[in-house]
Amino acid sequence: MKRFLPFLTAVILLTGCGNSSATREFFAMDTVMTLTAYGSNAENAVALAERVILFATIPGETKEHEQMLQIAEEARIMTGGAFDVYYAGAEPDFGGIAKGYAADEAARIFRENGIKSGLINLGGNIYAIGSKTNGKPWEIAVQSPFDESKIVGTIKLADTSASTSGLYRRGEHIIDPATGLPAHSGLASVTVVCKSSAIADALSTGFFVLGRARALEVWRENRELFDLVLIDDDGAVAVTAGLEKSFSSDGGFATVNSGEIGIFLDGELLHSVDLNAVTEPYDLPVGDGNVVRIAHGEVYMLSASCRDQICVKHAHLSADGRRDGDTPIVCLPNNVVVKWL
Amino acid sequence: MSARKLTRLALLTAAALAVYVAEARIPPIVPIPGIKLGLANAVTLFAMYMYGLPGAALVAAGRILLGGFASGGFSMLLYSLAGGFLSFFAMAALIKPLGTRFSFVTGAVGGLAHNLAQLVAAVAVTKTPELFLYLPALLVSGAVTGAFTGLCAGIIAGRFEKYWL
Repeated sequence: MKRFLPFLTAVILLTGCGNSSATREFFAMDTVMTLTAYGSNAENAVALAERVILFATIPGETKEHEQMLQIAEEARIMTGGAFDVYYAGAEPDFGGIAKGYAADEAARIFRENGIKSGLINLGGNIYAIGSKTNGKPWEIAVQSPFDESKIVGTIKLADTSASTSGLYRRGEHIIDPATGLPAHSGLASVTVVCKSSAIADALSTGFFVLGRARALEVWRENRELFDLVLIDDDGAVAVTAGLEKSFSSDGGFATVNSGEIGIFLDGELLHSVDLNAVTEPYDLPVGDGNVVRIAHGEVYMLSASCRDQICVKHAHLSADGRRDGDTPIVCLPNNVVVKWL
Repeated sequence: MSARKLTRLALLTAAALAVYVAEARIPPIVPIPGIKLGLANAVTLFAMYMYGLPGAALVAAGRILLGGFASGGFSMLLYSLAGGFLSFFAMAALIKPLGTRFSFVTGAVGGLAHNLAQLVAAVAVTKTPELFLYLPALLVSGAVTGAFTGLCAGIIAGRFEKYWL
């Protein structure tokens, strides 16, 4: 009897505040899946969602498979072939997209059943419906790829999904379609945050193969679609600009910017430059006394006429976020500012 | 104002200016605009202890204006004025209740106020709100360097009370 006590108390607490909830845990697609919903229709919603998920796992020529193939094709194009359901031959392998697709389906069922607050967790693919019952956003943890008992940071999610691929227990099996061998690109973990969990699932798999630099290239072309949390083999953590506010980590992290900088004189924007479009380095004189050096993905103050030379000593602004490049480069005596736009 | 007091205030202004110019020659240790020792502030605080607020205000204003003309352009003068103004009032409010014994507290508050005002002025002039990212570093450095210069001013003022008035 004793072991049931916590469970009973939980039920009383949850129903006690006039808000019913339902949770279901089951095993499918080689992973533990958990569905949680809050609201008057919660029981119904989780039951329907479970049925839809189990149905989506049945192989065959179904509508679901056709939709998955479409999304997989989008992801294949975006990743330049690094994600490809046909890597093993003529038969598609939905291993890198099915759980994400199932999470989207479950999210759709939740919404259709009026669920305003819920969490869908299909083993590495999480969909947050609305916010928590107290109105705060759902917060999910990104596990450390080096020690799965530790977390690297947390992401606040509201009505969006997150999918992680990496050197986790199952992650070593991600195959590079180009070589047919297990992928190892220097990334230990990739988390994709996207409204579509299927896309997040496919992209996280593809980006793990592609590596940091090329993943960020894809991100720069699709900044409205998704955001990333990247953990390198050396443990360095970087997030793309859209997650700067919703990601938090005790260990610190770099933010990857759009790559666009502005150069200001006397508070007026003189030049704006996309650092990723720069091929050959060049120098830009600003006002009477400053020269800004612009290179591919990097900008810094080359020289300044002022005495303190603080702007010249300032850390370079680097578009890949590897360096401490968040504070603007500022020359107060000449009123010149270089900063991210 | 007696000729004696006027002379001593002028002497202090010259000393403050010399300290200010000398300090500006030292290359900055940290590449963050606004982090410096601020030794000239010790002279202002010393003047407050010895000659009261109006006299100290003359020393501070004289040093800031002359220092501004001697080095840097108009915008740097503006930052000096903003910092000097706020730190003067912050320290002026504290010298009576705290006395020379707690001069390091007065100096720390003065340093904080100085850096805060300078940062606000810099954000306004450069139209760059991102400069507030420097706020934590500037507040810490302002308190530490301010405490040091405050301590100096307090020690010197304590010695001079016996011999110089």
